[in-house]
Amino acid sequence: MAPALGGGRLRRRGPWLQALSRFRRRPVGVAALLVVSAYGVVAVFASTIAPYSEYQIFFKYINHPVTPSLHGGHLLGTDVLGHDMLTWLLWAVRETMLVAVEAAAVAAVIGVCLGAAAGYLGGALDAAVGWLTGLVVTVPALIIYLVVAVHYNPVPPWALSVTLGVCLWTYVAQATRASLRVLRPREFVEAARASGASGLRIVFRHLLPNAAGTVIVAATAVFGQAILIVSTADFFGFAIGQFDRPTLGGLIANAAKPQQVVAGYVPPWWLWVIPIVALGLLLVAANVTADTLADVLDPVRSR
Amino acid sequence: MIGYVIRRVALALSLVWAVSFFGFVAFALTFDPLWQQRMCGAPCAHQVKVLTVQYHLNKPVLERYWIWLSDFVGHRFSFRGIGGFPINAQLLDAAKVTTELMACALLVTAIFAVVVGVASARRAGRPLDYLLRTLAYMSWSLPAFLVASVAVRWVVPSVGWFLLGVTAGLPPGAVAQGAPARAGGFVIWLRGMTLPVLTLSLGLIGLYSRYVRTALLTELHRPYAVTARSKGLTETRVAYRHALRNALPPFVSVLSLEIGAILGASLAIDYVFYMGGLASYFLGGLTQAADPYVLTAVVIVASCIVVLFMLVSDLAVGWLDPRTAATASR
Repeated sequence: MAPALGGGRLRRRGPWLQALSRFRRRPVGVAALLVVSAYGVVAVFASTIAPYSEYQIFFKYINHPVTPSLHGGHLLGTDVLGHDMLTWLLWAVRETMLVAVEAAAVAAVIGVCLGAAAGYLGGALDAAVGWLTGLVVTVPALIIYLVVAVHYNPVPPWALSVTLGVCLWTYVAQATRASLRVLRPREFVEAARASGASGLRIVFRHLLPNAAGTVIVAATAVFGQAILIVSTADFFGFAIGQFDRPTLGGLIANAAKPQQVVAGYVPPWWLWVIPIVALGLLLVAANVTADTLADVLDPVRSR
Repeated sequence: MIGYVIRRVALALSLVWAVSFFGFVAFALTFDPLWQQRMCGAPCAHQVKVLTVQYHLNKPVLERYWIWLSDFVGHRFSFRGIGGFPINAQLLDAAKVTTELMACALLVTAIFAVVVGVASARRAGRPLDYLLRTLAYMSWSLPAFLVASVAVRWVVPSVGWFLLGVTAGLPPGAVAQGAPARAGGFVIWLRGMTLPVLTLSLGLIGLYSRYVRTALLTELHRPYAVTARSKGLTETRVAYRHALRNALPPFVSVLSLEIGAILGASLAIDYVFYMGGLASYFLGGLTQAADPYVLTAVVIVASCIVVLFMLVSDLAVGWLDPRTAATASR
C-alpha cells in the first residue's frame, strides 16, 4: 500500500474495511443484502408482525377467499381455507428462512472442517475428502431430503436442516480447500510454523481468517441452494407438516398443483402470485448478494 | 489420455458402489418393510415372523447388504423389490426419460450458455451485457418448478403443439389440453420433450453464461488474444476459436460438479410435466411402502445418471485441455 502523501504516515485499512468500501460502491448488491436482511427480520419477528395468529381460521371465508385490499383487515386477502394470507406468508418466510439458515450453518461447519483438513494436510486425506465430495455430489440432495422428510415424518425442522447441511457442505469444503491450497505456501504460514505454532493454530489463526471471505461466499450460495431445495420439496407436498404449517413452496403448491391444471380449476390470482413473488425475490436477492460478496471479498477474482 | 479415461471410469464405478453401500445400509437400518403387518398387531404376528426370516431382517445389516448385492449380481444387475418382485423395467423406463431430459437440457445449456456468455463478454460494460446479466440473474434465481408450473398452466394450453405425458407412454392428449397428435414416434417425443428441456435449461443458461462470461473476459485480455488480434483476425474468430477453447474447461468442470443439483431440478420438471421419469417413480413409491430395496435402486440409478454425465464432462475437459489428462494421470 502506498504511503499517504505529505504526512509520511501510512493510512492502513484492514481487508474487511476495504471490502466494505468496495461493497458500498455496488448499489444493486447493497439493495440485495437489504432485501435478504428484511426477510431475516421477518423470519425472526413473524409472530409479532403478523396481524393474526398462525392458526386463526376465518370460517366465513372458507371457499370464499377475500381479495387483497387495504380495507377489511386482510391486506393480502385470505385463502380458500380461510387463513389470512399476510399472516401465512410471514410464517412461510419464517419456516423457509429458518431451515435455510440452519442448513447453511451446518454446511459451513462441516465444509470448513473437512476443507481445511484437506487443504492443509493434503495427501491421502485430501484424496479421501475429494472422493467423499464426489460421493455427496453424486446423490441429488433433493432425493435425500425427500426421503428424510417423508419417512421420518413427523420430522423436527432442525433434522431437515441438518440433512440439507450434510448434503450441501461440498460447496464450502471445495472453496475452503482451494483457498487453503493457495495460502499454505505463503511466507506468513512458514513464519508461523517457524515460531512454533501448531498445525491447528496455523489453520485457525492464520489460514482460515484469510479464507473467511471465500467461506462466507460459499455459505451464502448454500443458503440459496437450501431455499431452492426446501421449496421444491414443499412444492411436491411432502415436507414440514404441509397441511398445518405454511411454507413458501407449500403455498405455491396449494394454489398451483399440476393436478389442478388438469381439472381446469383456476385459483384466485393472489394465492399464487404472492408466494411466487416472495420466493422469487428472496432467491434473486440471495443470489445477487452471494455474487456481490464474491466480487467484494475476493478482488482478485473480479478483476 | 487412456490412463486418464481409465482412472475416471474407476472413480465413477467406486462412487456408484459407495452409493449402493451407504444407501442400502442407511435405508435398511431405518426403514421397516413390515410396518403394515406390525400395525395390525397380533393377527399378523405369524406373518411378521415368516417375513422377517424371508427378508433376512434378523441378520446384521452388512450381511443383508451382501445378500442383496449377490442377489442383484446374480440376477444380471436387475433391480428387485424386497419380496423379489421385479421393478427393473419400470425403473429403467423412468431412468431413460430422465436421462433424455438431462442430456437434451445439458446440450441446450452448453450451446446457449456459450453464445450468451460470449456475447456478454465481448460487449462487457455495454447495455447488452447489462441486459443479458440481469436476465441471467432472473432466470437462474427462479426455481425450476415455478417456471414449469407457469409453462404448464399457460404455455401448454395456448400453444397446442406441446404435449404432456407422452414421454410417460400415455397417448397424446391423455393429460393435456394439447391438440391430438397426427405424427408418431420422434415427432411425438419432440412435442413432449421440447418444453421441459427449455424449462430446465432456462435457469442453467442463466447460471453458466456468467461463468463463461467471466472466464472469457480473462482470456480475451491475455497476450495470445492480443497477438491474434494484431495479426488481423476478426474479433469473432479471436473469441470463438482462440479464447473460448481456454475459457471452456473451467466452465465444464463447474458444470460437472452441479449435475446432481441439475438432476434434482429435473425431478421437479418431470413431476410437473407428467414425464414419467424418475420423479414419478420415486415420488409415487415414496409414500406407499418402506421398501429399502426400491429406495436403494432409485438412489443407485440416480447416481448412475449423475456419474455418467460427470464422466462425459470429465472427458470433455480432458479433450478441451489435454494438460488436465496429463497432470491427472501423473
